[in-house]
Amino acid sequence: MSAVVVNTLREALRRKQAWVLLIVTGVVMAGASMINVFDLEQQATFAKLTPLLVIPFVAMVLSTFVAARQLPTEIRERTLYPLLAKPIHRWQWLVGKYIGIVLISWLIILVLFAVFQILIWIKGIEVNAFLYQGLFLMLLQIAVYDAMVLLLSLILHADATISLGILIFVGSYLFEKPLWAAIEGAQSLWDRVLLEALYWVVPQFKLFDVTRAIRYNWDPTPLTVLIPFVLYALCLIVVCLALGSLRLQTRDL
Amino acid sequence: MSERPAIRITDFTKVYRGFGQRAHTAVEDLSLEVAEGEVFGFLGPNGAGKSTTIKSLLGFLRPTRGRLEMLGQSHSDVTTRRRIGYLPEVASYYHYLTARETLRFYAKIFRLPRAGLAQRIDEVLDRVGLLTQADRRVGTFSKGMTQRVGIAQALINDPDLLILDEPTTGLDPLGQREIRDLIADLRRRGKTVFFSSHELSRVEEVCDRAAILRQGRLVRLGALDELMPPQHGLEAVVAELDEGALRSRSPWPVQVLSRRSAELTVCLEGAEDLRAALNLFGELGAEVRLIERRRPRLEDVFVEAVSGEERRG
Ligand SMILES: Nc1ncnc2c1ncn2[C@@H]1O[C@H](COP(=O)(O)OP(=O)(O)OP(=O)(O)O)[C@@H](O)[C@H]1O
Ligand SMILES: [Mg+2]
Repeated sequence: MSAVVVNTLREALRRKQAWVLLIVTGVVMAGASMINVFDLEQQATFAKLTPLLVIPFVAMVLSTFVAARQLPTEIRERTLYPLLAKPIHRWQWLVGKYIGIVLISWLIILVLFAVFQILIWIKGIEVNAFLYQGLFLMLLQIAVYDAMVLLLSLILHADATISLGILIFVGSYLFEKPLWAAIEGAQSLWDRVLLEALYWVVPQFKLFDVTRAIRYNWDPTPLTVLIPFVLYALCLIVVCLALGSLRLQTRDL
Repeated sequence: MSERPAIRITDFTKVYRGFGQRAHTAVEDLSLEVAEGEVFGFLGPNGAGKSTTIKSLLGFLRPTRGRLEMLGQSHSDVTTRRRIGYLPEVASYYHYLTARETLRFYAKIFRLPRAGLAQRIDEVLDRVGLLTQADRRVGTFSKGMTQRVGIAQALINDPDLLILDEPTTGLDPLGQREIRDLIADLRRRGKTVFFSSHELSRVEEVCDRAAILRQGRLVRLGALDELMPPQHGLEAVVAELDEGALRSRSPWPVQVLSRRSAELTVCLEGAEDLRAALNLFGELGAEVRLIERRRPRLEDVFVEAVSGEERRG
């Protein structure tokens, strides 16, 4: 399985597009933040907020393209046949791919985060622990997202996977609040259960966003909140990968 | 047949179904055993169901009915695959890896011991004639070279059972001969080889037994000697022969097998008596360069098996 992980990473590195994309976004973002963000009134707050607002979306888009194409490409190019004829379970292959993809996504996030850190440091803005908690949550968020995209890619075509993945991510940011409000104001118990099921089954990526907390200068989230959060993320990942394995196992290749 | 065959296929049926597609029965009620240490040819025209059977053996397709076993274990048993080598009919390998890296990757999947691995990889690369190209990326390889990578990855774990789906496609004549030698070598070492092929003359050279599949059904199965009983008739290579005269004078039906400038290869069907045939050619003033008892050919058996019976709808 570790061989699959390493191979996934190696592919990303050798196919130079990944690097090009990463460098281009890094440069663009650095440029943009120099010009706009840092000249605004609430300099410090914005400097701290921007990475947490921008990075998830950039990383999400980049990793969608990595994750959505992995499995379909191996099936289409038939690199899968020689591999799966060897003593490796299909779930091992899936999990190996998943870990590779997550590592790539984390690399993207860390590079982007480092760019921002350097900018913040140049400007001499003070940061609190929250920023790092934000980073941790971003890493968790993308791990959930990658698992979801990988599952979708086993069910849908690559293009549909990309669209739907991005849609769910953005949708979660837009509709988290209204959905929660609807649950609160649900008329019957039945409605409430249904809405709540919807709320928890579709991954709520907005929950991993802590910009609000930073804006209002809340204290860092206590561990008691963070741990259930990690568990929620792990649950989603396990469910996605389990469903993916099941789908892979029962399908003709 | 041995106690525990290398491959045992029992009442295997595969029906392809797809959204909005008519169900298609690719293989129907196939039963077949391959003994350990045997070289087995799996034959049939295009679309007969050879690859379908092989892919099901390797677990890529789920059998609609029936049992498939390899080395005494169910085909879905993953650990058995340690002892199996497989060359897919169409496959590509990771474009961004070199030939050597490709083999190292598969070796890791097999968890081959690290000690002596580099040497083992070089050995296998040498075996398929890729040693000088070992550090080039597989994505830049020609078709035949890619096929050689495929053969190399099938050999990397020194398998007891080798399953090859059309091993000679894309290979030059030298490569085809190398495959033949490779299979012969594996047999000497007691390995089992199960392979599909359209190169009947190669199959004839290396196989112990063969099966012929037609439209998903088994139509011939047996040792090569049984499949190809001795033929009646004589084959002769003759020069300066008037074909028309031969046809009118010959007591046996005449079949012209090949025509090369002045030389004609003819078959006198059912002829037994060498002297009578020689006399006939003498009377016609032809020069006999070679005459021999007609040899059975797998190609004839194949053609007869595949077209002899009524085609199914
Ligand atoms: N994925 C699939 N979906 C539907 N039908 C299929 C599929 N794969 C193969 N078939 C059908 O199954 C039949 C057997 O195909 P198969 O590939 O096993 O033939 P083959 O004997 O290997 O032929 P060839 O000599 O051309 O390689 C064919 O009629 C083919 O159209
Ligand atoms: Mg085939």
